[in-house]
Amino acid sequence: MMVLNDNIDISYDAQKRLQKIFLLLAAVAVTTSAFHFWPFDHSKTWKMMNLSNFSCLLTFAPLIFMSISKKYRVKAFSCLPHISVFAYLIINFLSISFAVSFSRSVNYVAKLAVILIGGYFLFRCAASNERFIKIIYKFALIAALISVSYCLFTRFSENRFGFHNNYYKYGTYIGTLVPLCGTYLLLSTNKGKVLLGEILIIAAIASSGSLGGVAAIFTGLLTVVFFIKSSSVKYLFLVCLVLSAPALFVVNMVSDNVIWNDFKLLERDGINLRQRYIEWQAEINLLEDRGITGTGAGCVNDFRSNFYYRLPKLNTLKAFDQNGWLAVGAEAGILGLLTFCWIVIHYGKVAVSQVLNLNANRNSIGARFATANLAGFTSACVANLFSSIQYNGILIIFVLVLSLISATNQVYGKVRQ
Amino acid sequence: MNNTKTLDTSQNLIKYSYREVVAHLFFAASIIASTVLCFFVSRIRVEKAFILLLGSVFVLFNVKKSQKIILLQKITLLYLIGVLFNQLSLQFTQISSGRTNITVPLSLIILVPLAVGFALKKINRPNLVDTDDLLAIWVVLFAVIILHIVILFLLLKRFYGYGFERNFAVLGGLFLYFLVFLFSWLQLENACMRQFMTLVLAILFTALIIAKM
Repeated sequence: MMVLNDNIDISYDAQKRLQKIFLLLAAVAVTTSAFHFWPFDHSKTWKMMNLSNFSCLLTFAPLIFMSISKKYRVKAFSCLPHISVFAYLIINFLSISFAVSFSRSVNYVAKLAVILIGGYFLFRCAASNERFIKIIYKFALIAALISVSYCLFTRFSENRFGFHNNYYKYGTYIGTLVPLCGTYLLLSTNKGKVLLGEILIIAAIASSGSLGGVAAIFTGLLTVVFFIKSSSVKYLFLVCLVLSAPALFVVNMVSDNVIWNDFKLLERDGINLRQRYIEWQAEINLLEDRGITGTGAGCVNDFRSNFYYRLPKLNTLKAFDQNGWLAVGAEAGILGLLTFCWIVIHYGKVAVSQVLNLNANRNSIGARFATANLAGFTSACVANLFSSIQYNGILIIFVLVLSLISATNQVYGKVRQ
Repeated sequence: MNNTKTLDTSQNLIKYSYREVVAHLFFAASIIASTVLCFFVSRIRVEKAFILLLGSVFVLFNVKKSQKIILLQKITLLYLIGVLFNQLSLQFTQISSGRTNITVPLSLIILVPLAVGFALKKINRPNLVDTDDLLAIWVVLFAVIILHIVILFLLLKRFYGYGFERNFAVLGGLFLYFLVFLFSWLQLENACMRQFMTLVLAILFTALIIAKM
């Protein structure tokens, strides 16, 4: 079953060693993503070269070696992302020509390339069979548990928001990771794992301080309810959702109505709207002027304020987070958004087909992976509405979901589209 | 079967290739005109033209075997052509006929020969694009933008200074770029045409670099 066996004559020992290296790097990349930029939060170098990104960067060494070598070329190319990802990177690269801040734009595109190509290649090579996919899920679960428990601990003990220091980034991170791992656990036949899954999801919703995080988790779980046929499993997911509501309510009471304030459309003065929607509108307005050129990758903030056009007098607007979909359009232009939609459509189609096929074939473990992947994927799409999945430290989770979809497709037979 | 039979006759073959050549000529004329116009009336500042030049160098490589690389080249060239249209959009010119003066957007004037070229090409080629996926992606793109616009209209309609009429201009722009994609994509299938167009664009970007020095 190992991908490395396909058409390539490599010695068994070398193959095993290479596999272990990939798995180790993948474990580091996933697990350390939970720590975000800790312990050097203010270091720009660390933000670029933290353990998670560094693991992805290291992967370029075997990738280049394998691409050059005739022996390994087929294997290397089979583990690269879909062509839409390359198209997206090319458009981002070209948009640098319109960026006011050249260095920021180059840094942004470099990070995108490292994670989208290096990270994807790393996870795809590591998840080469059923056993290794399971191991990667376990590391993802560890990351989810660390982030949720640390966030809950800081919020209840020190009354501040600890992990990621930002509600929106945290919401996007767990909004993608928790449905992925939670679904994987809830679909298990082991009661202990099911219980752990329930606790993880409820704790994640309770710890989440943003509308995006809650909406992403709920969407992920509802996707499973929609696609799964077994009524007992549906019931399990619905119970989980129902139990999350009081948890959300209690935590909201304890933590200064943070979720409720995010749900509401008004500022505290009751007159002005939340800035979120004005930001969204600014990003749409930007398309009128810079439809193709965009602002340059990673440089939306240099232009966005020019496109508010008018603001309320004495406004109490606070900095708000972006909408990942519109931000892509604003930064890389319409073709950037087009290629991003292409990525989403391609992997979305594969994920849905996998769930339908594997559920129909009653392949229990395959169906479990496929359903969890789809839950993670839909959650990421929703989380991207309220924040951006392309933030440094969060993109790796989106790439993990994409590569798991691809790996499941490889291991359980390619789905015909 | 009938179509094959008719195409087999030598007269029709001549017609076929004649239309193909004229279609390419219209396309080339449109791109050359917009390139020249862009050099003089660029609206958006190109900060680093050498990046665009690098993009055109990538398209200039004559790749024959890898369809994936050819697809990436086509997307790159589409972006470069799109940049020209972006530079010319929201720029107008006046056409006077007798007493009446009509203000016409420059991008629309450039679009006309592109559309004629496409129409001629379309007669020979029934498919709009080489894969249906591409049209589906455009549909999704339109859906994403329109849904956002509708939701924001509902949320912001009472907001001070919110001008929903801007959204029509955004949608108009989006439609313009869709037409540019539609009219150009088939023409970009021809490798010679791709390389010629890229060469024209590369000259523009080199000129921009020199002008900035």
